[in-house]
Amino acid sequence: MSAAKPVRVGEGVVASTIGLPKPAARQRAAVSWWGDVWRRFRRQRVSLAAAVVLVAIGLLALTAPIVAPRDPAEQFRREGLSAVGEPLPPNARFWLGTDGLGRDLFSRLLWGGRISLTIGVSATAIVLATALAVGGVAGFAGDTTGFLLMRLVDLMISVPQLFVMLLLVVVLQPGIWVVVLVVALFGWPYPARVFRSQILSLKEADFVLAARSVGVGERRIFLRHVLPHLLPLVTVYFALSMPGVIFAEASLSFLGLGVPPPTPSWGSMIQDGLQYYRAAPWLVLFPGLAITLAVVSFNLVASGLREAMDPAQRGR
Amino acid sequence: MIGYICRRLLWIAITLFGVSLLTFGMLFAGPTDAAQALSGARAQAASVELLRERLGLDRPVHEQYLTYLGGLVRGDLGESFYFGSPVAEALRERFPATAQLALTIFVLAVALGVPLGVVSAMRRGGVLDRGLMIAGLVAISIPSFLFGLLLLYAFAFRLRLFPVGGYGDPAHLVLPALTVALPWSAWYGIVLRSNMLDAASLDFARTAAAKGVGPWAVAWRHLLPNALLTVVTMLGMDLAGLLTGLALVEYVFGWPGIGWQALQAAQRFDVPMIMGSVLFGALLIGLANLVVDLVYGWLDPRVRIS
Repeated sequence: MSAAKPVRVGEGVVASTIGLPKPAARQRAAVSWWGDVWRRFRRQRVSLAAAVVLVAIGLLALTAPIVAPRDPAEQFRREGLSAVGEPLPPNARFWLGTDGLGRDLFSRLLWGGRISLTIGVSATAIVLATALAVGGVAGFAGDTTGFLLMRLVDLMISVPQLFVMLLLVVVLQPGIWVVVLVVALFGWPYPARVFRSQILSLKEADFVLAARSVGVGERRIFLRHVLPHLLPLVTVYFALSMPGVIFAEASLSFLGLGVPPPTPSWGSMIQDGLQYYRAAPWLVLFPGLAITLAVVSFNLVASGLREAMDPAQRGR
Repeated sequence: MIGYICRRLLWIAITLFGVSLLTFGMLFAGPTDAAQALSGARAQAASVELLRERLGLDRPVHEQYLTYLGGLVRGDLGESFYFGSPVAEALRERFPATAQLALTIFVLAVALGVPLGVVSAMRRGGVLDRGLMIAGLVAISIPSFLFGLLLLYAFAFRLRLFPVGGYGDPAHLVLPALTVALPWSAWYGIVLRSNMLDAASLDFARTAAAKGVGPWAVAWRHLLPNALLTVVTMLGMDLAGLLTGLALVEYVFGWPGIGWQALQAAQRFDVPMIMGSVLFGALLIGLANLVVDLVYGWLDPRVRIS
């Protein structure tokens, strides 16, 4: 580098090598990693819109007891059914119409979302915790334990999931928490595999070597040094796991083996509506649209998060 | 090669053993008394006991499991609680319908998905490309039973183009096959597209273009085979999920396959039938995975060596 070349502000490295103060480095306010992710996420309009939709759905589900115009279980036998006893189409009084028992579909949709999302979020939390535990143990424990755990993952992946879920639900008898557990049972193997391979590569990092060389124990290395680096991946997998979990709950409820009546969930509402499908297709359509909207949004948010957290992956 | 196949078959056998152990364990860990559930809540205690004895449910768990395992080795899956007939026979009877539907879906999905992926990779940013992106997103976001119900409403109830459900002539096959094949082809089309775009920047693609090979020939002869590899891998991972989709679609359209049979069995507390379906499904997934891996080795000579 020639000495005649003028040193411009902003060329921090050059400036410091020739002993000048670094003026540019302090001008940009410190941005946290999550702040940076948010900045990149915000720029993807479609994913941002999906996130807004999810927040709206979540708020509606949370506030269902206040927002819902009617009790979801109340049967309006006279004003909620047509003269021949059929469900009413959407109208001014019942915004999305009524179901076969004269119940307000809009209120049931809000309450159903509350149940479906509660199941979804709890099952996903169990999925991620299990996947982290299995992936962590498989990555940190000896080869034999790791090998056995990964064979268990292989076993779980090559099993006809729906059939096993049915078997479990039938044996344990349908109930909300049974559904949560059964649905979570098949969510963890794939994330566990991904987490493990990430952990294996993190284990080789210099900061792990540094920690180990000053005498930090394996458990503490995992919890304090490796786990924080998994956080982005875990966040993405939260959004990626929700669709599968919502589908599984909807499928079980659709078969009449999920959330027991009269509690509405999006899946069980579709099952209820099936009886009047030909005369009143909106009974199936509205809960179906709710499921699809939620799942589309989760998928979009997941892809937006992935790009925001790992810009090198853009466009894949 | 033979050794590899034998090792894989052994692994399938181990998987089946593991699955049988797990499912049997679940059955007995659960709080439900099968004899009671089958006789109904108002049945008399004596008749429940009689049923328990007749089904062999009064014997110790390990003894029941060994009996079941002994039968399993000989291809005997026990008797259905509901029909009283052998489960293996019911599976054999229903399997052709499932195989017919699955093969139709596979052929349709490949026939639609491959051209979709290739054309949208070549016409990047075009109408078809954007349409495929949206279709693929919706395809992975809509439950298969819901998509089936929508097709049923539009094409069977409204337009009356196809029968509402059932089995027999080709017209019955159209809607259930499309229910799974359409989303599947859109999703794999997207994967194919992005893999082809990745491969397009590699040296061999540039070399081919520099030699004077036309863009479509490069895409078809050089990019597609490479892009297909990843799709084949994905297929192996998705098989279990596809079986789930297939079962739900059979249920929606009343297609008499093993999926519908298993779902009905679940609603009737027919435990041996569900267990048989679980094991048979695991066997199918294992064999299909083996085929996928063999095809992969055939497509990619690099894999064959190691």
